[in-house]
Parts: sequence; C-alpha cells; structure tokens
Amino acid sequence: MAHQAVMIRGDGTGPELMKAVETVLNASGAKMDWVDMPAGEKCILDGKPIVPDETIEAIRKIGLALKGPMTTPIGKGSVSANVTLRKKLDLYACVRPIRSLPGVPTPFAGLDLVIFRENTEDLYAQIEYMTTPTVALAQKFISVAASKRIAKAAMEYARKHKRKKVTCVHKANIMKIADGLFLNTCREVAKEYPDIEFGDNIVDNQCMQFVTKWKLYDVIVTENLYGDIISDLCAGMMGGLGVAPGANFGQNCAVFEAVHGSAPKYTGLNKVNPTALLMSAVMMLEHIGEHDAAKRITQAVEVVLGEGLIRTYDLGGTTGTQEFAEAIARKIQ
Amino acid sequence: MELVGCDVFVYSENGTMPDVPKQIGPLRLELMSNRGTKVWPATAARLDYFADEWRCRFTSEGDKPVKRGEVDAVVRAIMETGKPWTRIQALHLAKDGSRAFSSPY
Repeated sequence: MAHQAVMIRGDGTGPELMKAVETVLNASGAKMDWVDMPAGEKCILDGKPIVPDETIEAIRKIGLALKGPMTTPIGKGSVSANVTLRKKLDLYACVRPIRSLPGVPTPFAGLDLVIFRENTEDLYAQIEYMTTPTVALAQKFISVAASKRIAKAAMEYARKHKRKKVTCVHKANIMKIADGLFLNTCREVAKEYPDIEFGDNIVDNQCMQFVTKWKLYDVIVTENLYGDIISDLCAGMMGGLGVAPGANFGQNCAVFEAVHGSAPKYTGLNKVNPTALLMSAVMMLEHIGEHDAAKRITQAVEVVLGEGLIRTYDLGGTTGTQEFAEAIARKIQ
Repeated sequence: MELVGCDVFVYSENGTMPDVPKQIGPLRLELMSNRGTKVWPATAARLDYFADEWRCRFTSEGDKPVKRGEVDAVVRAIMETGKPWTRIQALHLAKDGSRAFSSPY
C-alpha cells in the first residue's frame, strides 16, 4: 500500500532535485502516493502567502511532507517559508544527522553526530522592536514546555538508536535566566534516562570542540539559534550542504527537507547534488517504517560516492543531477 | 518615531486565550500571538501547546499616529480584565513610515 505524503517541489533547483529523488525512490520499491502542494516564491508572485493555508492544512491532515528548497524573496516584510512551516505546524524538533560519507572529501573522518535543534522559539519568536530611534530590541523566548520536549526528543532518540551521550549546548554563563532555564530543564529530563550520559557545553566552546574533538560527541540538543549555526557548521564538516539531510518533527506530522537553499543561478542546469534531499527522503522512509528501502538507498548512495567515478560539480565531478540519481538507482539491490 | 499602538503581553495559564477588549478608543486589537505564532484572528496555524504569556497587539487603523494617553487607556483596559500584564511595548513607525516592529508568523 502506498504511503501518502505531501510533496513541495520548491523553487530554483527544487523541482529538478525532487525529480531526481523520485527516480531513486521508484527504484527502491517504496510506494509513495504524492500530493503536490504549492509553496515558495511562485506563491508570492501569484499574490498568495509564501506557504498557503491549503498547504499547511494538507500537511497537517496527511502528516508527512517532503520539501524541496525554497527561495525567500529579499525585501522588507518577506517571511521565511521554512520558518512559516515550522511555526504553523509546531514542528518543534529539527533533526540533522551529520555523518562522514565515503568519497566525500572532509578532514573530519569518523564524524557521526545528530543535532536536535529546538525549532519554534528562541530569537525566532519574531518579537523585535525599535524601542527608540537608535535602540533595537530582539526578545529571546524560552519556555519550559518547549525545552522539555526537545530534550525528551533527543534522549528518546539516543535510547532508541543506542547512542551513548547527549550534550546540551547553551550560553547559560551569560544568559543565566533564558539559557539557564533551557539547560536546567534539559538536566531534569536527562535524569529520567540514567542509561545515557548527559553533559553540557557553552556554545562557543562546543564549536571549537566540534572541529578539534568531534569524535567525543554523539547527540546534541540545543536552542533554535545555536542549532541553526552549528547545523551549518557540522554540514560543512561532513562535506557541505549538498550532502546534509534534515527533518522537522511535530507531535503529529513531519516535514523532511534538505538543508541547502534553492540555488537559483543553477535552475534548469541539471547540475546540483541531490544527495541532501535524497538522504532527507531516506529519513522519511525510516519514519514511515520503510527501513529496507531506506537501507538499500543508503547503501547505493555510499557505493556511488565511494567509487568516486560519478560526481556532481560540488564534489569535483561533472555528472548531472538526474544522471547521478540514475546511477544510484542502478546500484539499488 | 510616530506612536501607533502597543503590544501588551498578558499572563494566562492552561492554554486559555485571554479575553481582552477588541477596541479601546482609536486602538483596535490587531492580533494575538503565542510563542511568536499568530493565533487570533485564527489562521491555519495550530500549536500543540500554549505558553502562559500571550501577546495582544493594539494598533490604529492605517497606522495613524496615536497619543500616549490612548496607549495608556489600553493598558488600563487590560488591567480591568483581571489578567495581569507581564510586559508592555510601545509600537512606532520608522522615519520611512514602515513599522518599526516585527510581525509574528
């Protein structure tokens, strides 16, 4: 029986990346019943919100979505499509697996982390003012409930996947109240998981630790802003945004997406690397119980990358988006 | 900067949206948000839980300038509901006439 899911093809290179992902998914045997829904720059050009209510409702109803990269128009008043989805669906956990891949150049051998980023509050609560003509104020919103549920999500993941350690990343030495609340709440939740080691690091020190002692770290749980920054740092460590997958989980729905942008200058050129979106689709397959298909796709991706014969431009090659996907599809057993 | 309204943050527990006046003088309740997401007037957004602090935004029609006393009247009206306010923030326009304050999602 086919799994129903919303597909948001996205802007720029999004549609061609999504086509490449469909090629691989079809070869894996996982049956998907896609419901195409609009979002992104085209909606703005049509005079609609960047993520129309009909798309939000569809994702909420179906409970699952795969999203291509979207372009946030530049200009005052424009809103981020990604943040809109996360806020309106209350997708509270942004999960980014970070893993060295064969054939992808990186000095960080043996990299294997999972980042849990709180996705709904912090400075992303959009509470900003010019309080005087020369003073701007941005309010950081941290709640016990949101801190508790992201901590629980990280600890549950660690337990389920037999990960050994969860590290809370914060700046509670400076923001004693806001980050102190986040840290203390994480500590309280960690007490319910005595089988998992729990520690914490201040965010600046953690960034240094990532690039010097990355093997010491396992699962990271952190606030929205720090998670945004260290996700990109760690994506760079694993070889770039072209290979880094991501997922956003709410209580009743999940949206899977590549971390990178829409790369509008490459639109229609069949050039960009579909690995990130493909591995996000693999996360989706695992989420819906298609573990066999997920494993076979992952193995095929690793074989193709490891052989090093077929590479997109970002990995030093000349293979096109679709040809890369077809090579992976051929390797699926 | 021209004063055009205020955000009054109100404490209300157990997910209960505070019942605040919709119009006080020239200032009307434009929206309410919780955790940075607009929850009134209703949109497609659905939150799994509500924090116990609610933002109530009062602005004038067309962002016409208002007097400080008119903003003070909003605060007094909120106080009369019995729900305690936690924070109050004056809302201004920038020199170019644009809003010098952000909007929730």
